[in-house]
Amino acid sequence: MEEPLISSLRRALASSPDDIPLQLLLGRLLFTAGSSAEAVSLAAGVLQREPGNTDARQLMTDALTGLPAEHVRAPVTEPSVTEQWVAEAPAARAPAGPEPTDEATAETSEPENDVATGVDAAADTDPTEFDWSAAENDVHELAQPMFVDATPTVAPGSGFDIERSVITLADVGGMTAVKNRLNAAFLAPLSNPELRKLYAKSLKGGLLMYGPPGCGKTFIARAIAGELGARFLTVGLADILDPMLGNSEQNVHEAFELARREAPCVIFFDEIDALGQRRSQTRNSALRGTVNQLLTELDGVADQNEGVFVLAATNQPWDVDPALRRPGRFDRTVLVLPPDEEARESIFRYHLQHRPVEGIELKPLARASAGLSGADIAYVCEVAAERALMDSATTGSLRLIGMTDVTDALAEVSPSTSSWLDSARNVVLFGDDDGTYTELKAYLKKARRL
Amino acid sequence: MTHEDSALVNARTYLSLGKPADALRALAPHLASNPDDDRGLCLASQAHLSAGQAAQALGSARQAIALTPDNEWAWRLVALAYSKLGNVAEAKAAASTAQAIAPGLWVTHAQVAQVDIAAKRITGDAVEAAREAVRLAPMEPDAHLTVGNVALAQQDWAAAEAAFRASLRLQPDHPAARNNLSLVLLRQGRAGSAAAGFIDILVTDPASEVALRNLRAVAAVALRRIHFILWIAFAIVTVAFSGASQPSDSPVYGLVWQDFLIATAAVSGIFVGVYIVQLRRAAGRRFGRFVRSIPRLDRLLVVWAVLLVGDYALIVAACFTSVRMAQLLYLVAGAFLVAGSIVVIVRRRRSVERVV
Repeated sequence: MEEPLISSLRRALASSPDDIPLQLLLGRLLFTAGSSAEAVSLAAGVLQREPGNTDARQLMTDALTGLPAEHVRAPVTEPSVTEQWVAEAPAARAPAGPEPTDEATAETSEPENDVATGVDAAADTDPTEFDWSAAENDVHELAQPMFVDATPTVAPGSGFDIERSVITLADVGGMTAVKNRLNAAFLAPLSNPELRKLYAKSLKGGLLMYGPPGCGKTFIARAIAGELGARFLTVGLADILDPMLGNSEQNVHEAFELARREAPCVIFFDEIDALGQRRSQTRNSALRGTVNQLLTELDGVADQNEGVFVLAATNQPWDVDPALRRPGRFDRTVLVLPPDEEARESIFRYHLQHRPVEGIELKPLARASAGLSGADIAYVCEVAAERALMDSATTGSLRLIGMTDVTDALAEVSPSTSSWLDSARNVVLFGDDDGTYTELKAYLKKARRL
Repeated sequence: MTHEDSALVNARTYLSLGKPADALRALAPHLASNPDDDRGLCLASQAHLSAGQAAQALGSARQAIALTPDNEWAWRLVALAYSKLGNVAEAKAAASTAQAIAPGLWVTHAQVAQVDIAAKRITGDAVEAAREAVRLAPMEPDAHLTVGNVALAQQDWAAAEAAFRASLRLQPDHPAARNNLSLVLLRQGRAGSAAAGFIDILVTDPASEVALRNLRAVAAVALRRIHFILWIAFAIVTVAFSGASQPSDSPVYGLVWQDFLIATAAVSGIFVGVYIVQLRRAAGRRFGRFVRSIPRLDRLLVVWAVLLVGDYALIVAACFTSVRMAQLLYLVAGAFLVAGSIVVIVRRRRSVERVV
């Protein structure tokens, strides 16, 4: 049963959620009452708004350092799944050896392995070390899933995940150029049927997003689905690939059928370069017919179905079969580049907001991270958290993630987009200048890569 | 088709798409439940090789051999893995074993030749094996590629060119055959055609580091040729007048010297012009792209080119000024040539690369 004062403060905070002193008071009471995780969450919320708030920092430190130390153990580094099966296959045939295992069973059998290797036994001998499991339990409520706003469901009778996305382009930080292009090429004609009729603008065809990996193409696709109030169906190579002759084509057809049944629906082909590879390069029988099937379905979409919007993403548009790029198919392209400064700030905010941070200045971080992809920034935050965590483990006293952790992590991480940009530069330098990559060319020139 | 078979087919598909990590992921559960499947192990070995993990590839192939000792595929994979690890003796032994197991299969012979090609030590066995591969599979582009690679390693340019062209006739977009043919053309002094070939590869595979490096080498070859012509012109003028009986500050000496300079500049200019026209003709419509790409290929190439252009501009200027000024400009032009040579020395020589 919760204390009446806490309950009363909760109600007060619900009516005025921006009241910082109230948050801190409730946090302090919750900490005293033993709800450290909630206290940390409240303190993190205050620090997010007021990074220099000393009371919040104190509460955060108190709440974090007040963790009980029961099960102390050292971190265990597991070999990768592929390493396991390659290395252990002969041992698996021997009676005493461990069974080779897939990823799922490896996770569930981990505690047994720990017991077998005596890690827990060793842990009990040194109570001064940092309590990893207790810390995990305490902060586990703080770690939110990356995207909670879309609820995937498996459509009955198919292996495809279909979800209803509630994120919109407003949730995409920065990237104004991309949003404008999306609006002009895709969203405005869809949302203005009268104007569309007036200008005789066809809805036929899909939109191809291309750009370096980790720059948010899939996120934008979801946002488009949210913007259109449509369901979102992701189709990847693994969903389509089938060794039986004709089954891959059938899977492509089923994906489109499902999208038609669930209309309005965005059907999103991830890594379209793999699925719709140039037919001259496709030597594999399992994929030979998929490009043709894709073409058939794309040609049929506008005539047969209303409300099916076809999107695709690729890192290598130059590998996509040219037939797929012809008018009426993926004839509209949008270049999704590494995030601009505003977007980088949003990404830093997103990845740090649920972590115990103090004194983080997002603008300098955004300025210093030019060229990094969204995935790179996520990794920077991960490295920064790791540094603070390891430091806490080494010193025995927990501390918040500070600006130095992030800037040091930033210095360690180099842009993963460089190799893509090198390839893109070669495409622009040596390929036929038919206007396909005008946007890319302009960017490379601006970035002094051309 | 069983579930096991589908895992193998999917893995093959991923490998054909250049996705070895996905192939290994597809194989993992299959091999976990079927650790005795030698085909699965061979595919895993192949995937590891594609991912640049030679040691793991060797482990998987060795496991496959332990299960089925007469598996020629596994022996070839062992040969390839040892080649990558630099153990030529073991690689040769493994390739020979595969050849002995399946003498009617062209790939086993090609593998024997491949070991020598990778080791850059061509033996009679390799030559014979490559020929046998083509005899067994005359319609297989890779068999011709092997013959070409053997000839290339032996610096038999004509034979190499013929073999690579045969390979390209069977598969016009074969990147390795295209690269190595361009390499042969470069060795034969046909830099324009070589540049066109490397550009063609970059159009279809913009991530090709090999083609980019080789294109850089073509640019260096072209600049070296122009540099050489200018050095010769400079040397002729210098040598011709170093032993003159007239004192160098006399008016007669100056006028004759300047006339000679004009003649040499004109002749060297014609030589350079003819060379550029040849390059342009050979490279065709790709010439413009080649020239535009030079600054992106290597900054030192730009410095080099600027020094050569500067040198020639100074010589031309020297032709039309007073004798005193002309002699000064001539000396500065000489300094430009020396600086260009220093750039050549400083610039790490980037070797051209074969695709084997």
